[in-house]
Amino acid sequence: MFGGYGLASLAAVAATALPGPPSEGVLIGMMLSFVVYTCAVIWVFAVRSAWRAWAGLLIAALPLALVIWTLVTPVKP
Amino acid sequence: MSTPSATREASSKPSKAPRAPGIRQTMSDVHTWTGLLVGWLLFAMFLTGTVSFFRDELSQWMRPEVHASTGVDPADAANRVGDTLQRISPNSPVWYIGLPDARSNTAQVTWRGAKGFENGVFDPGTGERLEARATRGADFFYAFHFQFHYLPVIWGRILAGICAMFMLIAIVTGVIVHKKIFVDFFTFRWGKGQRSWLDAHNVLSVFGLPFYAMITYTGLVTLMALYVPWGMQAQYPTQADRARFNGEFSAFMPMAKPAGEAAPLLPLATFVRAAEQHWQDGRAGRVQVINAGDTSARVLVARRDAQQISNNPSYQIFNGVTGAVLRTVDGVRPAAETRGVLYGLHIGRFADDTLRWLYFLCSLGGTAMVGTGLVMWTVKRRSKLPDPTRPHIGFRLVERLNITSIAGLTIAMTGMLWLNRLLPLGMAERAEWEINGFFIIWGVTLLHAIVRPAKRAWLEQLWAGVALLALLPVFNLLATSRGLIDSLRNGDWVFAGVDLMLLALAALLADIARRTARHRPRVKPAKRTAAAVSKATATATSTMSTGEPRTEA
Repeated sequence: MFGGYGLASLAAVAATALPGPPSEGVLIGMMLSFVVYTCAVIWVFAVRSAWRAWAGLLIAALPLALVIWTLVTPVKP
Repeated sequence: MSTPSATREASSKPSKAPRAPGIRQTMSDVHTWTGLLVGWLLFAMFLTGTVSFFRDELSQWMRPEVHASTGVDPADAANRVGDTLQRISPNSPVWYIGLPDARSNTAQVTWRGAKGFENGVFDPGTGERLEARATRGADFFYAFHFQFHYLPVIWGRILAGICAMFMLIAIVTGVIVHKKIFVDFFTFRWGKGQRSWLDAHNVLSVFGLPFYAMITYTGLVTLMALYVPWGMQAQYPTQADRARFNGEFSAFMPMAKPAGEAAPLLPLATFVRAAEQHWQDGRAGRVQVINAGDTSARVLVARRDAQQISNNPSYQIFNGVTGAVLRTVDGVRPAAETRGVLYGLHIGRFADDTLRWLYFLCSLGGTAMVGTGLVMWTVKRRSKLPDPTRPHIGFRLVERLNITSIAGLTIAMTGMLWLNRLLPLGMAERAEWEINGFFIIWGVTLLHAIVRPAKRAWLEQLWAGVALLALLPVFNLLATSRGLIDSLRNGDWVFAGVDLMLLALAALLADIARRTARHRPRVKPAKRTAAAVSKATATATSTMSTGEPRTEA
């Protein structure tokens, strides 16, 4: 539940790194986050063990976190 | 969330496959528990949201003393209302004027007076403020469906967001569970207790699936800046940045300091006509004025929502003194446009009458889907209980909450419409008491559901709902000057429509109640005492009728 929200939030932030005007990235991220969340919840319940569920979420989260660390910078006023 | 452990307990029902639970079984459990946890609130969100598709009409009906002029040109209306505002609140820093249109015969005005914001309903023909009873009208149902009441607005919205997210998950898992989705669409096993229940739930769900998925997802999108603000915060660290970002999605001017030099405001019709000229085929829906009567006056004219699906703003801002166009906003970038369309789809303001009815019926079907799902939970478990006459506490809780949230809410909503007619007009805080009354009535139905045996409680509440719904048009006929006969004769379709709708809903509810009362379970003798089983078949068959246009009368 919280893992899913975390992943969805990561996706929302990562999407702001998309090329184009920042406001567009922000919106795409927000809109997609609900889809990511749904998928995450389904994944967690679909696999056999809690370990696998966490592993799956972490694997999905890693590239997103990487993108955020390297690419996301606030808009310069 | 304790869902995983709950899932284990829940899967006690005999599964055909003896091996470890497959994905369909797990998804079924997720579906059951996400649905149950928020089902009661979802039912209320769905039902009040459904009503909100006719918010303008119901609000008119709730102010029966208002006879405003019809067919007035919006520009003229803006002019007259502007004159009145200048008279009654000359130094107001801001006015918002909602112009009349096909669905609303009045101008809804909010302005900042000496004691904070005030609002009123104005006659577009004369520009004068109309004396109407104090009521929030159908705006209450509208606000309740995404932020509830008595809760701080933000918490209410977050709660609604959690419910919607659960709903989205329940929809997707429901589809996964339901492998033979199209075959089952043509399967309806009448009078088979739990089977019928399941079939009713399935048919209702499959029938409106695109609509439910759309309305749930778009509902989340409407408030997404609250639910997942992280991207926005990463990109726009300061409050001012975020305000600018949000400003891209609404036709709105923040209040500004007046210059302190008096200058006459041009007639508002000038701006409305200029904007309509610019849009070619567009009509103005809303006017915002800041610092009227000052050299810094600004006028914003926004296009009417009904003319495009997208909810993105299309507007012009003018200098209030010279009439010069300062800014024109006609379109937005692709992602913003996507958001606008999703938002617009949710609120359905673009819909014409036919589509609006379709929205209403689909949404009523969604309400029934949530309701059938909730009752199915008890039906399914009642037959598995060790002793069906003395169910455990969790079961009784669900059962009683079902009664309150389904039958009780109908009573409370109708009760509020009664209060709208019955409370004395001069009463202090009258509008608030209509709403308090709604919750008091709802509370009473909860108490009633707790103290009465389940089947009796269902029947009594359903019949109480029928009586309230059916008698309200009768009361209007006898006690007001705008009864059904007069409104039909005068072609007053707003009043006739609401009254006929109440009668149609009464008939629908009566049908549910009648079937609930008449039904004798014929499945297994062991289940004979199970009231909910009989209830199941009854409502299963009768909720079906919500999908048919019979309610349209």
